[in-house]
Amino acid sequence: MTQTRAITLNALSLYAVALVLAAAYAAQFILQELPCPLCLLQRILFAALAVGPILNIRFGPRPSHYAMSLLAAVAGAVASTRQVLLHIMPGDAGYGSALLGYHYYTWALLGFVTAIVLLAAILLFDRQFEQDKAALPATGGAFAQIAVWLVIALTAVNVATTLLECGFDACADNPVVYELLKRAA
Amino acid sequence: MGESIIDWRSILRRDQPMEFTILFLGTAIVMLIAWRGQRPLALGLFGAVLIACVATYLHHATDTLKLSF
Repeated sequence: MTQTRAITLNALSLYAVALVLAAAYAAQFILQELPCPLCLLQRILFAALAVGPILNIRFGPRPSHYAMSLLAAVAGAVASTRQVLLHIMPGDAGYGSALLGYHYYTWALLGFVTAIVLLAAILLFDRQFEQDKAALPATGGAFAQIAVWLVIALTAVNVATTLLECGFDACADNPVVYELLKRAA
Repeated sequence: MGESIIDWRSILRRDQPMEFTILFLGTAIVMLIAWRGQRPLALGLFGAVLIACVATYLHHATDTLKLSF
């Protein structure tokens, strides 16, 4: 795999992270379901997955950048497994509504495990790590730049909505209102 | 003078106030540094955010499980 192709794949992975963050917002605002503390932590770790690809696009692919994403994916898998186990007892309705038969934390677990497998697979291709300055525009082209700014923007918006939800306090275990709006009302 | 809606004294007394907002903010800052700043700084801050995430997880994971038998 050439460096150019690896950078395109990294940009695609950023679009995938953006899609996950946007889907989480769809559940939050369309279904009016506020994310719980563990749900927020999983969102943060999905966003953290994007740091490795951003570095790969800017500085060229390096194993250390993929390692960063792997660490975030493992942490995310642990957090989502914990939430799956919290609701594993028969009769437990789970937290929030289900999408195609699975709750969001189950989808998150599948997403993090998929990320681990894909990161391990892309690490198999050594040629991407060879110096190829001709193939590497410093910022990866418009396709990659849009992906980077999209993920940064979605993460920044999450700062605002999390502040709105949790306020200046620790987040509620089962949030039902936006604390900051309640405080202002 | 009106009372501020931010009660800083009670916020600082509480356990892990604004933890998730701060983690999102930290992640956004790491992304911006990764894109525009220095690589070693981005790597270091990423490590700090990840450790903070694990600490937050451990804090919540020690809560009693509310299982209904």
